[in-house]
Amino acid sequence: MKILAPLNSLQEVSILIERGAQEIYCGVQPADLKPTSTNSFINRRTPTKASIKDLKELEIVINEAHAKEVKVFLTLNQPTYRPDLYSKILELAKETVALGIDALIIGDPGLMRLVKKSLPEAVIQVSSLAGVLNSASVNFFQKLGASRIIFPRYIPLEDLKTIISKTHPSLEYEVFILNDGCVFEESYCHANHAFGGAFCQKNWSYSLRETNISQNPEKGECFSRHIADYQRWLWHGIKNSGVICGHNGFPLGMCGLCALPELYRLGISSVKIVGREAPLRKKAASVSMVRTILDRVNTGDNEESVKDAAKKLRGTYKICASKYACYIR
Amino acid sequence: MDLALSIPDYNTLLSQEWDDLFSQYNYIRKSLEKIAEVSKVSRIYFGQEFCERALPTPEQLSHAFVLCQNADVSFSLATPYVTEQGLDKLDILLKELVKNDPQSEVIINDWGVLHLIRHKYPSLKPVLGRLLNKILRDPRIISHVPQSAFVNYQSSSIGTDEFGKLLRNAKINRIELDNTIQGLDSNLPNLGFALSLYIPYGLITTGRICLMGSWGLTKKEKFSASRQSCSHNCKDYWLDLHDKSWNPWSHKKFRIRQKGNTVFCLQFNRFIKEGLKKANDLGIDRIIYQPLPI
Repeated sequence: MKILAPLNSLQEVSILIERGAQEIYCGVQPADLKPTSTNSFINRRTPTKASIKDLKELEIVINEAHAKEVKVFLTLNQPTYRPDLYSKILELAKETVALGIDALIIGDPGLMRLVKKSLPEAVIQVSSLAGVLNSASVNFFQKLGASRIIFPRYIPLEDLKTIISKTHPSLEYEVFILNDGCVFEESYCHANHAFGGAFCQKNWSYSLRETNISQNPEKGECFSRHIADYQRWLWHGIKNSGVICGHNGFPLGMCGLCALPELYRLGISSVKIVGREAPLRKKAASVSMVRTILDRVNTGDNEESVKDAAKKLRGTYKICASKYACYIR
Repeated sequence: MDLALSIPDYNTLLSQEWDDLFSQYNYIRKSLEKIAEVSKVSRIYFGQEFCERALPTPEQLSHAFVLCQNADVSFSLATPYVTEQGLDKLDILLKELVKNDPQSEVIINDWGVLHLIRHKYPSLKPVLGRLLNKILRDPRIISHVPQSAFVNYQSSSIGTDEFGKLLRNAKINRIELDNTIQGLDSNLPNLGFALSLYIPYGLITTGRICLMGSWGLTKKEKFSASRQSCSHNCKDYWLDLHDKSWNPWSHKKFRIRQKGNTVFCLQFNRFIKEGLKKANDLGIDRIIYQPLPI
């Protein structure tokens, strides 16, 4: 099982690899694909903060990573594109494959089909933005030529096991392991973060309708108390407890470290750290954190001691006990 | 133009006269009569687009089908995005549907469900549900993009040749749309697909983690995507959402409403009327009126 780390500049390559990253993913933002509107991003992140600035820098990133036997994957992971962008994205795919990019991460099945048809040698990984939640969906994308499935967040271990058992043995699977949750299903969220931030993280007030009774008749829980729990979950699981890293220098927010032994047993190929736009110190700390726990799994530590070590490393026992920051519950 | 009535819930299907459901919104009815010269429901959409926990049982499905047959209206089964358990449930429902009508229409909102239909129930007619059309549906566009630039947000990959080929290969002939705030794409008639438009609820976002379904659970059970049981609070309650910095309540075109696991943009009459006019101009041949989305 490999650690997949996010990257947005050449300066980060050697540090992330030294810390233990075995695969890297990034976006690139060539000048001729500069967005004319927030609807023309090419990789779901603002161009300046989260992407490598041009193909020249990308080429150096690829060469440096390959020299250390680390693969580099490119995000082309918008769930949909304006039609006029398809041909430009295809050109970009061709250029980056020629530079030696190891795989393209794609979420749009139309684009996947186009790339595979025009560039059969391209290795396609299905982005979590494609919303692969079941074995039939895996099979759908495998038929389109995918070689790896990146599962969306929060798929239970039991489901992963069943899905993997029903699908083609040649496929690779990847799951989220650290940083950043989503309230809704990423693939089915049609809101735009560029419009004043994540829709789900707005400071919404909720007015309960259809009845004047403010008590849930079955459970007797006051709705406002439920909303307080929801806001607590949002704070820890989605808003990363309001910090980049905790007091020990490690990131807070969503985490799947306790599940590493089981993910390993299931044959998951790669665990993904989220956050291309994050500062390097967070990325580096994230890789170190996963590396520490994965080393224990690799050396055969028993499951309970791995889980204890993960909780100790995070140092957020109360949040861990609440499960409000668990990718896999 | 055809008029479909979407009734996701079995009990609603049984307990109310379909025509009454429609008459609740007389303004919409009048607009439809005036703009599209349509007043009679010719199809029922039954089933769920958003939540596998709220799927009907096979018995309910068959009963709904028979009710439609008796009423001489066509039948479409709406299906949601599904987990592995949901896929198993849907497999049983599709089998039941084929028994009733092997050529029935199925609205698909998950690529896996399309795969299942193509390989196991190839006689069924898949329709590309609105959740697989990933066009932007964020109503905040109204305060972040000048109206003159709305056109940049009206199209998506479904407008490409390659996406069209993918759909045609899967025997999809119809695409479903929301009446988005930025307006409908003028190129829609050139896609070569039959088109449907949902009113008055447009989707914004949806997910497996359910705010309403977590209500009443223990703290540890809440906000989990793998929760098995469901109290179906979505049947009895909804939430209106508002925000101090941007108050959609005061907006003239829509309100933001959450039902169960999904947030919607509930469009107001004037905006719906504008959408219907545009739909008629663009050759959209089916309006799906959905008084309650879940």
